[in-house]
Amino acid sequence: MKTKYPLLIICIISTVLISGCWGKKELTDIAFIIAVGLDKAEDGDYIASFQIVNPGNVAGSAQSGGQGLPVAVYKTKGKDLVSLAKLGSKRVSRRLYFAHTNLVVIGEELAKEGMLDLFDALERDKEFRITTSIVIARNGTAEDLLKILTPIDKIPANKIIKTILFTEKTIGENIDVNVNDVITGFVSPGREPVINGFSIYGDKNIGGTMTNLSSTEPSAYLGANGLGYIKNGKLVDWVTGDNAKTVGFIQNKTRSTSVQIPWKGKENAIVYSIQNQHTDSKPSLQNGKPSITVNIQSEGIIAQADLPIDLTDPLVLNKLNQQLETAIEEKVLQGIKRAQKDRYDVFGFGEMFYRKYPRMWNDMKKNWNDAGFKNLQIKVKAKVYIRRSELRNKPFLSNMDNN
Amino acid sequence: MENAKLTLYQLFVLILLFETGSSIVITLGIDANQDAWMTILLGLALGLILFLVYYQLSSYYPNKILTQYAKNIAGPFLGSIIGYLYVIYFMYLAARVLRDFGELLLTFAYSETPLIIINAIMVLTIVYGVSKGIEVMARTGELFFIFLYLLAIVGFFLILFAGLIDINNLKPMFANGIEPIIKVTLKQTMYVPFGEVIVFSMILPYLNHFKKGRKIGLYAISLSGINLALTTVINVAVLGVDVNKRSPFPLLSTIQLIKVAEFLERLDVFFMLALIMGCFFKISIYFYASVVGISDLLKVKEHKKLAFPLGIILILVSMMIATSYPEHIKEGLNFVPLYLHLPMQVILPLFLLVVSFFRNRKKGTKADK
Repeated sequence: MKTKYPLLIICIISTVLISGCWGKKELTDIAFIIAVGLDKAEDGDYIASFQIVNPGNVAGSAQSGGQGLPVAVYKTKGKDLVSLAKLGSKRVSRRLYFAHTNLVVIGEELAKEGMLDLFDALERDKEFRITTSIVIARNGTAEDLLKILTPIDKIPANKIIKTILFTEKTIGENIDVNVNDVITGFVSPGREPVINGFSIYGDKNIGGTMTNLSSTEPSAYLGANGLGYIKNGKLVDWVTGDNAKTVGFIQNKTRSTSVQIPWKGKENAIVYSIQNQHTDSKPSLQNGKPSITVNIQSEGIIAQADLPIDLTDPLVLNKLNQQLETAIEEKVLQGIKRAQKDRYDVFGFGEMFYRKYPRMWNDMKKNWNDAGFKNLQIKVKAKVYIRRSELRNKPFLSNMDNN
Repeated sequence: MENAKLTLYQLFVLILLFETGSSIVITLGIDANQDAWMTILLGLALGLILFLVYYQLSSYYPNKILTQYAKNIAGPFLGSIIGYLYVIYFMYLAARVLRDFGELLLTFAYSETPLIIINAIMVLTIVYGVSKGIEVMARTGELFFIFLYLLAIVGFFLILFAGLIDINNLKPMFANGIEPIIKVTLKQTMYVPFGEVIVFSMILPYLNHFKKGRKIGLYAISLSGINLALTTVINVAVLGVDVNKRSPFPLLSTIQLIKVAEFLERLDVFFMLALIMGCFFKISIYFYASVVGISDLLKVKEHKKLAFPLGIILILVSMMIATSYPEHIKEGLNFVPLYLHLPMQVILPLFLLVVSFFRNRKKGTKADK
């Protein structure tokens, strides 16, 4: 027994001392890249902008740190993504580390010319996550977008990601899209991907300086701006407002949004706020022709009523239900028609056909966007349930005598 | 053959760890697209039949391992040739799994470490386990089994709560009819991992209640088959067929997508633990079988004397069998099932069973010793 103990001790000591030293990376030698921006240079090369976190200035909050800027942006120019990342080491004093990259920004010019060459490197690299969000810098370059400093969320990349998440939740005009979603959209013949647009509002030259953070109204700020339709890897169109909401509805991403209807001749008199939404799209064949029935079910509340109306009366609510249903049907149908006109199946109707009629799909998939989707018969059926009307039954306008 | 006793529970655990071992991290039967899980279940059905064949052989010659009863059945000369074939076969498969393991770790975690270092450290552990004997391995298995299962259950619920599962990805079923499913089953899933239980012909005689072993074995294989099918269902439902086809380790990609409550994310370590534990047992059992087989054929009394030298051979073989990972995988998919698994898992055992059936009938009720 005595001879065994030294052996055991050697084993324990060596596991502590020698483990994990082969590919070690010291924390102080790593540059955490939080966002990557990609643009096209005039001579055809790519320009990458790396937004690198300056840890000391973020973690310290107001008391200790906060003196310097939270991020720094470095730029490199090269022929492909891998050399862009390698060339970065010529400018940055640390090893570029992509495991914490949360955002990829693509310049609008590059997006219009085609993005297919970008995604393999993003998907293949083991440091890079396929859950990384992706946006297009609408009306600008990715570089400019990444340079803007943001007041509330100190790291601009986080601000962009959070903005998209909350617009998806509260209004449904943007959808949280990550690298994986885009790639599956590229590959699937029955669905085209969408990518969110993000724009700079204000003076971008001041936006990158500390001045931007020292006034209550920032000189430049970032905001979500529409949904980009992608076809064959190219940005082809932007949609905003109700047309963008349609995508959220049909892909079942919308959590809440609002619908306005006129009542007794007054425009936008009633505002219905959706709190729960479920959409079910069913493909079918009618006389041999493909058609889709979109069933939208929503639950919600009356959030605003700007004229005398008795919301305690179930009959009135029924009438409201019907009007809201037609309003939603019209809006969604309009959004689909818009995509049909431009021939991008961003809703994934083609995939639904493939799942139900796999054999027929083989014939349809060749020119799905140009023929099948364009001539698809669409029916939209909405079902609205007004559940309650918040803290008041009747609007105060009902009891105003001079009315 | 060593002097050891295994409980039924230990057999159950060993079979389960062996079957799910490395198979859970790679793609099984994805050539059948979204019907991959059906090929696994079909493979499971055939695998159960194969297990009954192996079990029947063991029960004709109780207390004898494969290399021993091969001599009883086919005569001393032919029998020892069959014995050597099986020993080499087990050794080669151990090396294959070891290579898989090393390549996996290199691809996603230790890109700067040389392959031979990773393989050597793994083999060192395995040699130690094997030289301690099957009982020690089985007890280790009992410990890790619970841990691995907890991990799997937690992972499953995290995927569920993260809302990643999209059942639509599994549709349409039978897109190209039933033919591709049968084809893939007969080409892949029947052998890997289900036919691989033949290695337990070297372990079954250690059972303390041999007669109940049949039922326990069937249970263990069924459970592991269901686990594997479930994993494939989840992988396809989360990632879609396309990504599954293009990635060598879809389970890793699935786990990477988990994002629950803003902080439960980047759980790659789940995959890593499953990989290391699963591969450890799979390689150990193959390696144990070949070490015990050789020591039996060469009449070496203590198998542990051979464990270390054979371990060095194992490392070298695992380095030499392929120059690149794609070559390694291509061999595994195109060459190994047809030219190795089919004869070693199906043809030879069936031949042995038929011969031993007639031999035993001739002898009547007299038990063979």
